[in-house]
Amino acid sequence: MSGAANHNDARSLPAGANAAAPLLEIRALRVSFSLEDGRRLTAVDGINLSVSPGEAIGIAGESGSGKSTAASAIMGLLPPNGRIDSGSIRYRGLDLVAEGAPLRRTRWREIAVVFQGSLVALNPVIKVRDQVAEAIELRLGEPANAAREKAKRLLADVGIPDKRLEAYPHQLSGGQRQRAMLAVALSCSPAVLIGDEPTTALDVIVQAQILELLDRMRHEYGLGLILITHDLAVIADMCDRVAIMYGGRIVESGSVREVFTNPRHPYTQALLGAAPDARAGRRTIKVLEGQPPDLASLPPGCHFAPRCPLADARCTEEDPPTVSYEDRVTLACHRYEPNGGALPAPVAAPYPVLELGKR
Amino acid sequence: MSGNAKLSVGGRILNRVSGGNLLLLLLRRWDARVALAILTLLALSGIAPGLFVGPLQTATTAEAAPLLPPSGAHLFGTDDLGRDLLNLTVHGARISLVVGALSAVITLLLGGGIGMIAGYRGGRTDALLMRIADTFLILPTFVLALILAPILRELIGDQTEILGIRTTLLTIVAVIGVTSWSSTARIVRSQTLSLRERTFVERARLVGLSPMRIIARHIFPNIRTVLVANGIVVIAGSILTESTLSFIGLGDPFQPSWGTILGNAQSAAAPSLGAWWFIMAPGGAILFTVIACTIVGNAIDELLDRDVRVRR
Amino acid sequence: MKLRGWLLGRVGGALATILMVLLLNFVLFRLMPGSPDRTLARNPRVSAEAIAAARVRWGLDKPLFPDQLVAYVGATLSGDFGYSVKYGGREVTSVIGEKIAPTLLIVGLGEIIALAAGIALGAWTGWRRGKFGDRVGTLSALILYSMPYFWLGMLLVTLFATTLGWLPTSGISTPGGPGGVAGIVDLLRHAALPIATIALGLIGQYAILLRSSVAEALREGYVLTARAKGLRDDRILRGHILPNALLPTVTLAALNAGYVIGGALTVEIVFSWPGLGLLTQEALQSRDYPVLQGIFLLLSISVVVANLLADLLYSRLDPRVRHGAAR
Repeated sequence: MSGAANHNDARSLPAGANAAAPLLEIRALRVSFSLEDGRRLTAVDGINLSVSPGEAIGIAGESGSGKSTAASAIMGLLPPNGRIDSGSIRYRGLDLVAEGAPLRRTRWREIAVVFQGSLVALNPVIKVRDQVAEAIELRLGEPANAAREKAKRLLADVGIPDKRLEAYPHQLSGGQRQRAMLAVALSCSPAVLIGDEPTTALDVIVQAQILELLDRMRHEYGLGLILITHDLAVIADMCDRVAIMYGGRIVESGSVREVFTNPRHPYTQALLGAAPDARAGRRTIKVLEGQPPDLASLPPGCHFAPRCPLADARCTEEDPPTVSYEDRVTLACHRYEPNGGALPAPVAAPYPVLELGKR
Repeated sequence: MSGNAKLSVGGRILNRVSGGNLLLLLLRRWDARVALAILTLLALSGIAPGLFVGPLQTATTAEAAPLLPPSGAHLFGTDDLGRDLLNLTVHGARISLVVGALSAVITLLLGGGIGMIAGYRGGRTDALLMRIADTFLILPTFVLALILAPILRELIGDQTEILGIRTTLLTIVAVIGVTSWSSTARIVRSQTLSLRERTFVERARLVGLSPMRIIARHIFPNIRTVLVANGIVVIAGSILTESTLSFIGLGDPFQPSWGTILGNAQSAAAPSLGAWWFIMAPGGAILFTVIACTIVGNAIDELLDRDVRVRR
Repeated sequence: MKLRGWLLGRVGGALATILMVLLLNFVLFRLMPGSPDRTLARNPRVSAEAIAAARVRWGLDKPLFPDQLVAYVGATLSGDFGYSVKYGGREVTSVIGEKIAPTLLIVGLGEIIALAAGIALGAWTGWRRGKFGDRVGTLSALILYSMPYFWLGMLLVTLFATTLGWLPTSGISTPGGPGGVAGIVDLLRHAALPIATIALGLIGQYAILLRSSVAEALREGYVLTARAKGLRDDRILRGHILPNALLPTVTLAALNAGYVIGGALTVEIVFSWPGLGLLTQEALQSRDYPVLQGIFLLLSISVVVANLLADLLYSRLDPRVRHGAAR
């Protein structure tokens, strides 16, 4: 495919980047927002994350868990009241957080993003084709005609029929718009693609189509994919690794297979148990009581402690350290001892169980 | 002029912020504090001008020389008849403010009433009333006011006084009210439309209250704050329109408003004589009043907006 | 197809508005103390026969509705606006006709300048909202918005014509002045202050409106996308925000036409500019109602047409309207 061919050409990396360094690496990232009443809200509280080319990593959590804020921080698009307090985000070794970071050069050419709700993410008064061509022309410096040609190919690639080339966003269906948004995101052949709830607003069938397209593009372009969603099924289908976020922290991460088959953190267990799994014939759901934490006034200790059936005094006093086990799973939970790094057996948290009716 | 609607904000559902509450909230903002201080000072001059500057000077009672620049004796200078401009401007406050406020009341009554009826009744009534409102919204209503004022005046005569206000001025009040209600009607209608769907209105309808009672008991209390916010902007617009009408010569020479004084300045060729003080005092008074009203109106809008945000 | 329906609706609305203006004018015409026969009756030299003849001529001997209304609407539509009282019975259309060009000159140029400057100021303050430049810009816009046009004009005359002597104080040309190119320069020197007054008076409104629509657009998702694309600020503003934020300005500029004309009338009085404004004041002083009505009708029709044009322009600018999507 043409797009893929382009992409496999030797990429010119931005100045200061190192082709041998990891594709995208986030270390101890802390992001906070100032509130109108003067308090500070810590939305992301020291997360670590890395992506390699061709790898898909899912970030899961409830709304307010900090997963979208992490995406904004990577793009350098935090709102005016938000700031990165500490930590680093490195693209091929290039620090994107440091003072004078070359964000304008890395955006879209290296890291692109597909937002939730393409009706608002696309400009309503500009033709879709021109929105795809814009970055090709302005960021890659290609002549207008070539950019429009490339936009045409990209749109065909994502499945927008030729006769819709001159359409405006409102003339496309929700699924077509999200496809078009994907074409916009791929226009500069980025190395990393962030999908921030890319399929949330779509119905199930269209959602499946878009995910399939996203998966195809990942393999074709060798993209490092970061998929942010509250939908665990999407992550199970799409991703190699998963990070579960709660209250701004990653409470558990690891390969999708390991985390989904042997969830260890009580929150992960609740998340996985909260959806009735028709295929497994499960007719029960685990009930997670209480409210997500108020990020503006977090208590000390584990953020999940107030809702955790396994919590004890230590959980409400001490932050649980994040421990890596056999390089396969990381956990931040006092219920698991470091154990010299050997992967511990899961401890089932006794959630109240709700029986769903037969059928 | 009829531009009062242009800066006002419409289309919000409001909730009950009581008058006292609103004032307290306003006083927390420095810009609103300054604006309210200006308005209070102007209102005081309007209520008791004699207290500040003595009785209104006329051509016969004026004792100073004509067109004196500002000095210790005449802070704002004198006009072409030797009247003290401070005296005229303070007395003008009464006319400008009273005419502005009365016109605003008529505008709000007309606009509020038509808006509530259109929004509540819906259907054909709504379509017809809004067609008329839209017509008034785009027409050069100021020119209409220009024509209406003398017609009305000839019809009712201009020799009488009502409540100490000469009918010349009352015709201006009526004309402004009749020509500037449409934007208020639009705003009130959109509020009423959304209120109509609320459960407490539905309940009232089910209980069998008459439309008039529902409007009075349930709709009106909920749009009161919108009317206050809009009313302040309407007052500013009315004062501007009044001053323009008076400037053209439709004011009352015996009860001069700021616009009348500026009209006199124009007839006396003050601008080409370089008599800037003749223009400064009355024009500055208009400017400060309108700015103060706009600031207070915007502040209320922002407060109400925030209130809505918090409640969501 | 949907667009055509929408346009037809707009044209129908404009026609309905004009009809309402005619109706309003008709009512005023019958209401007014200066209606033709009464005006004639005041003149002792006019005989009873002449009045009767006039009544027949104007159809006043027929019932008010429908005969008189039909006659009035028919006459107006055929361009017969009646006769001026002041100008010795000249046709209103010809009295008004010769005043249109001077008014159009200052209103047109003033509006163009105000739009350009107001859009620039509003875009700048909206983009930098909350910063120092925004505060200064917004306060200036508010002050300009709050000034009556005529007062602004008087201040400009006092400063630039009387005190500094740069420009003439009033009139449209120097009496016995030169012709040709020098004459045009003379005209422009006379027009400069009236145009500046109208432009300054309007800038505030456009700036305030555009500031708020730019500030609103800044919160939109497509701006986030544009930023994520790594576009430069001026490209985001001009390429993405302004095409959206300008849309309400188009509507406001048209809605404002009536308001602008009202203001322009008083500006002409300040500068003794021989256009419709000065004519209006003269007609008011001599209670020349037919002329006043003619002016009102002319201005109303202009405003209605301006709004229709704005609707057309809007439908060209906003693809959502063009394709009949909900608006």
